[in-house]
Amino acid sequence: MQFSVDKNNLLSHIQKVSKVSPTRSTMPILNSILFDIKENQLTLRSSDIEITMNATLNVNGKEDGAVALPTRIIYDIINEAEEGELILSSDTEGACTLKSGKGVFEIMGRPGDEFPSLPKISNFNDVEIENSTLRRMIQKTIIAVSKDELKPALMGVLFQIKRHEIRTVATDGHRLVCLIRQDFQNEAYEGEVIIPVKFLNLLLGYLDSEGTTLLSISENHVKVELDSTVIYSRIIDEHFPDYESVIPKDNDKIISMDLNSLLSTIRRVVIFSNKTTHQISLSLSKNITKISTVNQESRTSADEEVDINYSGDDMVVGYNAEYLKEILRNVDTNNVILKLKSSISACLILPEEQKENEDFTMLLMPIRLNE
Amino acid sequence: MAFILDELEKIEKGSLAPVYLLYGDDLYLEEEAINTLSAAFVRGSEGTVEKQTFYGTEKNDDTFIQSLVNIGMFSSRQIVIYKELPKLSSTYRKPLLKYLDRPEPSTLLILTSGEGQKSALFSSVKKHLSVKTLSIWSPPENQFPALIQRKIKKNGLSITPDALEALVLSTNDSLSHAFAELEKISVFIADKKEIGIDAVRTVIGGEKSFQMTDFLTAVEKRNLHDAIHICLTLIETGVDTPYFISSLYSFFANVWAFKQINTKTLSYYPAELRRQQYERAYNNYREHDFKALFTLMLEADLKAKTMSIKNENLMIPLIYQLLK
Repeated sequence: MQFSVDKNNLLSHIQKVSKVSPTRSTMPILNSILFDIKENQLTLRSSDIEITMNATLNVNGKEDGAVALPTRIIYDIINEAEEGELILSSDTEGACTLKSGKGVFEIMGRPGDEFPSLPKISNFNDVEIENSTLRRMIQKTIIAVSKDELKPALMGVLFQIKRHEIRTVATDGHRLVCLIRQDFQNEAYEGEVIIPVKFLNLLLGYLDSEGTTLLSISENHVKVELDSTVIYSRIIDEHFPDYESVIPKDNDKIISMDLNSLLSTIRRVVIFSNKTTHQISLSLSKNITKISTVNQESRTSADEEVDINYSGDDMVVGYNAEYLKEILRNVDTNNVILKLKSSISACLILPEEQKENEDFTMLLMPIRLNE
Repeated sequence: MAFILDELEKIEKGSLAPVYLLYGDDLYLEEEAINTLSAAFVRGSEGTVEKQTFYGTEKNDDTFIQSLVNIGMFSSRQIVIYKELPKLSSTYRKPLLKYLDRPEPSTLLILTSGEGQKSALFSSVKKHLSVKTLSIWSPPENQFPALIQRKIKKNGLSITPDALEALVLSTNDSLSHAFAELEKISVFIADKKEIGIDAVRTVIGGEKSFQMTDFLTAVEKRNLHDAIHICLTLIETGVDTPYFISSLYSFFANVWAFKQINTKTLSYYPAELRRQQYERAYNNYREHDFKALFTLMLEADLKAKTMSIKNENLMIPLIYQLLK
């Protein structure tokens, strides 16, 4: 294999694909990037088995071939190389030579055919989504994705796609976020898939503010093509829990309050909370809520009142302040609406006004107050 | 101490405590206890019950403590299991003890402890009013046959008396060992409904392979049954009487010498494990006349070298006389 290429052109593509390379892997080859040259087109590929990314760029190809080069070394040397043209060549055993300016650098790689091939996928269903919509749907729901590997179904975002509606849902069993868009048109596909959070995070980095993205969904994979880059991901083949059954319909205690006042009060109070449970309590009474915490271990406590619009019965409810803060930061209206029923049931958290053609619901479970 | 399976039968019929502390070394009993407690808790619940297991060796104590105060979204009741309690990080010990002051009725907390029963945390948890303790130490060997038969019956099988005896003798170190071997035998017999001696011998390979140290341990404990059983097994593998007697002589000499010599000032200072064994043995044999014991061994040794007599015919009376 031999080709020459502009340093910055190659570097920008390596930066893209290196995001998929795992930092640690039981398969050493995955800590490499595949360089595959065919005529004047170089394909870079990285994979962690679950996700595979291909990026192509034009180069001056001299000899076709493929080699897998260690991600860290190839990234570092190309980053530090002099500006201008780079010449890369390798033999069939994977020994690679990089020439840059007056420098010659030898890198030991692996033969290209040892690198995992692209997933074999057929029967894609294409779903076209506006970038702004897709970005919002991912950003709003991703905060509730679980990190618990024992609950794989919750380690991604559920996409429910209908002809005139698209929903994204994520939950970790303590929080749930559901965003529904009704301004969506799609004639090709109806179904649902759980897409891994790593893929969605990658995708966020590539979404332009305008235009549309084509999500290609097959039985086991999802694929996105973005200019010269293609990202493949396995779909989480698990049963997503029946989230609709846990969204309460009869929470009759409705509280409206200024979002910033609430958030800043929580930020102050949480400083004094138990560092394990981050427990705070909201004592609701007519038009006022007292946010409190007591940490008996460090013998600290905090109380602060916030004005609210509420006319229901008095009630005390406990929350994990970190979860509550994260949920509230996800609200993008000046006021936030909390709908409760009891101190041990789910609280609905809603923006003061829904955006046009959108239904944005968040749910937070309380914690037991024991302090 | 009540036997664990009797305790579990009571649990199946009666009410549950909010927190259980299982302590002991038998993995089978641990699993059986967890399954029984979980089943009883699920039976008393409406809707789904979430089950979470945490391990003291993993660094997720934060999540464990958090799970005790969280209210689940998809289930209102939960079973939380924490294995290896003494390894709970010191940061989270106070929150756990605080939880034990007011445990949640919607949560069944099961804590286990194999080793580390001398830890302060173990003691604090054990004496807590809300905590019910269950011993899961491996039961004595004489309870094995009934337990194995109970398990076999549960699986819809039966076992011949000789096969049962062989299985017990080969796996009498722990109940989990016995049941692990039983699992293999059940697979081996396939569609048959009865476990015979041949199946046991084929799967387990006959008797457990003993060492002379196993024999001396049985002698140390004055366990006549084990001592004779191990002796016969060793004889089958080719060990002869003079080797038994020299080992026994050396053992009793050390036991006797250990108590006669001031170990703090003289050079005689055996390794810690040996020292403990000699000390235990001395306590078991302190009423014996050591001179008579040595005489018995010398006589047996003389007989072994001068008479044509089977090893077992010489050794069994000797063991009886030494250990009685």
